[in-house]
Amino acid sequence: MLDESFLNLQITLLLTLGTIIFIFVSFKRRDLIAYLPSYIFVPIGYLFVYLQIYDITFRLLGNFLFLLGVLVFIFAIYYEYFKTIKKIHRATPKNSKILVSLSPITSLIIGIQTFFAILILIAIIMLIKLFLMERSTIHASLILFLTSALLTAVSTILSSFQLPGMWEFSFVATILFSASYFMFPIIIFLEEKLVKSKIKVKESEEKYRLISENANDLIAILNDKYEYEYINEQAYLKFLGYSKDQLIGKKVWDLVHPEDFERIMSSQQLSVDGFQAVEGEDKAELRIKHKNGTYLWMEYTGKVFINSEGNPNVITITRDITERKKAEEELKESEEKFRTITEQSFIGVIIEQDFMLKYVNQQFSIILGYTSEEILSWRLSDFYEIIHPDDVIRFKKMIEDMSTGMLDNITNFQFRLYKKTGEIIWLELFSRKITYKNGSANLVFILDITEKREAEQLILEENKKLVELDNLRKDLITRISHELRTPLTSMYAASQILLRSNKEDSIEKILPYIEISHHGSIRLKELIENLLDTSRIENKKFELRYSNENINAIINDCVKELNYLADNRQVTLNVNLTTEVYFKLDKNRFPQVLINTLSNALKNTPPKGMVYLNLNETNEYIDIIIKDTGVGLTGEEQKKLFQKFGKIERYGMDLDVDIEGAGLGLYISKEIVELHGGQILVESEGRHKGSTFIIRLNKGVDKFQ
Amino acid sequence: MEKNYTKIDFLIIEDDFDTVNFLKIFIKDQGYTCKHAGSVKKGLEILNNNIPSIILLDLLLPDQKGHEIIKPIKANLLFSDVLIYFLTAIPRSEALEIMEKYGANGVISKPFNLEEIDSLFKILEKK
Repeated sequence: MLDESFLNLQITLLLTLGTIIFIFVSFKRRDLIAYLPSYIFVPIGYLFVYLQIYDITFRLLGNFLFLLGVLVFIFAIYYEYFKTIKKIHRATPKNSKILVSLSPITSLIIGIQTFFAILILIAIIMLIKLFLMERSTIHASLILFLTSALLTAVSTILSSFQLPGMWEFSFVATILFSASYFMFPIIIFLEEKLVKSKIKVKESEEKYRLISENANDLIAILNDKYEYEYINEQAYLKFLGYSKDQLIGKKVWDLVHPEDFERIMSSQQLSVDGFQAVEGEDKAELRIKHKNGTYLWMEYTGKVFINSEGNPNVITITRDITERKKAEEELKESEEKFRTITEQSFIGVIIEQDFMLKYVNQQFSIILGYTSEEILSWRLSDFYEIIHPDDVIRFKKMIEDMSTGMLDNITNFQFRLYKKTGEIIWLELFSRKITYKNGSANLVFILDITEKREAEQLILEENKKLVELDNLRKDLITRISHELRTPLTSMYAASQILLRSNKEDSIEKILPYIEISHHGSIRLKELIENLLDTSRIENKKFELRYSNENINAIINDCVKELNYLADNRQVTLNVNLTTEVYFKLDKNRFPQVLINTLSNALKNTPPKGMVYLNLNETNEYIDIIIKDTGVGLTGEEQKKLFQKFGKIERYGMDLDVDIEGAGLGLYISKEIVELHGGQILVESEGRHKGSTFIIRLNKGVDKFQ
Repeated sequence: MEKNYTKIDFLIIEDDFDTVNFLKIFIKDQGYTCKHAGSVKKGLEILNNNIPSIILLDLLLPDQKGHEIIKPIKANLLFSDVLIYFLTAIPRSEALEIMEKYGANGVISKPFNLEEIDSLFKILEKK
């Protein structure tokens, strides 16, 4: 026989222990709080029913509490079921069967029975779990709990009818119930610890598989022999056309372009047969063979890891970079194009930022004669040192205006600069604001305009000369018309008098007017001849005809012609010729020189003066020296003497000299002598000291060459 | 200081020998008196003791421009009645400009017509 009270105590303790465990678990699982009333009601209800209190009110209250506890438990389970478990486990148990066998029960092995009952329970839960195919352990225990609760309730009701064997049945059912009741929080606890974490691992595996399979990058795992262990087939099919069975077990190198294989092998010091575990990532660009035989540019990242068997594996992520590679190639090409343009340009190109030069092209260093390295080491202010002092202020102002933002662009700024060689060059500068490396900078163009400037300078000079010439020409016309008008005035006036005269007028009265008219016409004739000669000289049409002539004879002829003038001026002409001298000269033009110089000497010598003419021959020269005691020449006058219209005005000097002439005679004389290969020299010690003119013919000059 | 001034009819300030020669003969033939200077400086010297009725003034003279003599002449009350005529070979238009600017009485362009000199004689007769 069983000791009922002992058993009841055992069951009560078991239930109380279940309550304690539950309270402990519910600290961690606050969502289980709905079960708490059940864990309080059930043990109290059991106590009231079985603790030998045979008061009917207590028994009924106990039964009520016990059943309420069970109902609350069921309710809580369903609450939990809907609230939480449903989210994870969608399946509900179907066709679940619980096999519980009744066995003869002895009082001695009650404790052992209880222990075995727990073991059996766990085994049954496992069986149900298996049966339900990986469905929740909680569900298995729930089914067991409900079944045992139902049996307990039925047996309790039946036991009150005192049917034979019913007590034993009720007892076993109660033990089962209380055991399952006791197991419930433990199972939940275990479920939490084991099952869920397993689900999590599975979930994360699934997640990674999904990511890998749907990735646009090629993901593969290679073993230490470079053989494919895993590939994400979708990506491999899409990009390279290979399926899983075509690659798994194949060596990766079979797909790599031979050149890239060589390159990677040598650069990373890999062995063809296999690799060792190394730390870190590995990155490379390489061409991989498509199934159709073409190669695609790919970039791969590899990372070595140790697999579960302890061997080094490498996971590679490979990406198609054909487009990128193409773009890179194009960029490189265009960059090269622009680099060529800037580097080969005739224009110096500079990028200036924060008063430093960030870039100079080759041409700029060629222009300056300094190397790019030298220039790049300078600050902007160092440039002031090599800029021409006359331009440096302008240059500084320009830099200032640029840095204060007053000027954004500069065009046609011209300045001078010293090259490394010290040579001065003219540069022209253009500049504009640009953005360079996220900052404000100036893009500067420099042109060497030295030649242009020189040409411009030349043009300016030529232009100035032309203007001078033009002025001279205008001046000449005015001068000539004035010179022509002067003799014409007296002729015209005198001729009008003659027209007015009549037969009765005496010759004495009209003779002066005839003389005036005659004299004027001579002057006019001489003037016109001189003008024509001047014009011929200037147009290089002044041609001489040479013949061997006796200079003594020519001099004598000229002297004869001028004797009247000497007499007129009361000047003594002293001619001193030595042996006869012959020279090749123009017999018409050369006398013109003699008459001109000689008459000048006579005209510029006041009455009672002397004019000497000497002929002097040396080995080299023939000198005709005309020396007078006249008014002489100052330094200024000597300079002006041989110029066109270089007439020395003697008016207002109190000099009693003849002042006729336009100032062309000596100019023409000088030209004639020079055409003979000689020169006219003049000497005078100054005012009133007389003058000496030397017509020097050079014997060494052969005029027929 | 009283000075003795000689009244003369013409003062010719001119550097061309032939023109001067002609005018001197012509003026004397007509019964007028005249003196001649070849430069401004000489002309001013003559004006130191002569008061001419008419000055014939060349503009291109060796020492100074002829019109520069006008100012000192006008400044002296003794010469207030003196008539100044340019006798010049420069273009007439230029001479007229100078005349207006410096205040001369007329321009005789070279080469001149005798009638122009005749009209000066008429002016002297009216005086």
